[in-house]
Amino acid sequence: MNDANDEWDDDDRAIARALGANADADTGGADDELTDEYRQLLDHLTDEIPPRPDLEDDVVAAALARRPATVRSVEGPRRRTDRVRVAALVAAVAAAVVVVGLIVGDRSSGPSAPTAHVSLATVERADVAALLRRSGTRTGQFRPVLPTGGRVALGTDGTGIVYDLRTDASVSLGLVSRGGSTVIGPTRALGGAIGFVVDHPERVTAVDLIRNGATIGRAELTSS
Amino acid sequence: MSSPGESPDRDWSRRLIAGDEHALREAFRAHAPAVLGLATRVLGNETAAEDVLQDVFVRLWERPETFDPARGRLRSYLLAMTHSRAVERLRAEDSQRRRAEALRRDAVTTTAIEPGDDLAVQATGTAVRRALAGLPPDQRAPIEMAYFGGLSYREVAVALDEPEGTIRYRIRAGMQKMRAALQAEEVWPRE
Repeated sequence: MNDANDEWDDDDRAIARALGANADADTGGADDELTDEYRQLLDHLTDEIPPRPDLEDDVVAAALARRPATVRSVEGPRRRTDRVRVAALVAAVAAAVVVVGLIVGDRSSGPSAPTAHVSLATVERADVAALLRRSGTRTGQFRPVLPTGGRVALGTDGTGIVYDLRTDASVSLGLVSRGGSTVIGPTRALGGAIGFVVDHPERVTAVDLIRNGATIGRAELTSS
Repeated sequence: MSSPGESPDRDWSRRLIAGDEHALREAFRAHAPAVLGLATRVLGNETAAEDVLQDVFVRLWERPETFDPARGRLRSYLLAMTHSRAVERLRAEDSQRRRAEALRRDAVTTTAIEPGDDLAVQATGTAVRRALAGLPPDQRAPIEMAYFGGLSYREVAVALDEPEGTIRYRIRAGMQKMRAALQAEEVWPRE
């Protein structure tokens, strides 16, 4: 075999491109499919290394700083969630003393609770204004009025927004109906707002704001 | 949520373009170990490897449309980007000469697995590494130097004191042997 042959064929080009050895290689006409085949071969050459537990949150935070999410993860950051869990006992004791008159949340879902798909989404102020202008939108204000504040609007198409929320703590929302409630989250407000979508919005009579398992506010929705 | 019959890559692509944070977390959990493994192998430094990993996933989030599931798998796309960024960093640090020397030493001292070795092939990764280890050193070394050392064919040729055409031939022969070995073990699709 002549190993000093200067002619590059399809395999040479695809291999050089897959290896990333483009600097002095003639890879311009490399076949995409063949290159991908060799890349798949190279993909398995290294051992996988599990990332440290906090790395996912660090990377996601860096990514969201460059491009905000339009659909937020219902899980929320892993690290912060863990911290909330660790602090849960302390928070529960403090809540019993400080938060007098809180409504005890019913986290169970009854047979006619709004069980349809619910998703969370970030929203702009303009989205709130548009939803409030829509015909049939029902509104409510969270009471008791805690430092968290907050209002809610729910459109007839199932689009809902909690807004004017003055906390960035991890919270959940309870969508209350006569048959029970559906809890979504935990999540964190962005710009004081949390967007959600619920099927059968007509069944929802109120929205609860839940923190550390305790309902810290309820917004009764106006009649349609 | 993926539609019935939709591949995970297509599902992730669609949801990343839509700005779904959970899709980013899912893609991270599925592929970060491979990305970190490759970056660490190339850079030899886990802190620098984490920087590359962050660059790769931030880029995926910022420009999700640059991944086309019709043209390849997300894993390959991410690892190609990882490799490219890690090598750029390596070159910027101007340490590839030292790295090449180390790789050359490693390649020469690596114990090859004999063809008769009855290690069970559990996964493609194991099979690929076994195939690489089974190559003659003069084919394995240039592949490792080009891929993990980020060296061009010319730089490999200089480091090994061989003609560039010889290096290209040995890399090609080694890659084709690996591919053939995997096809023989039926862990790789035949042409």
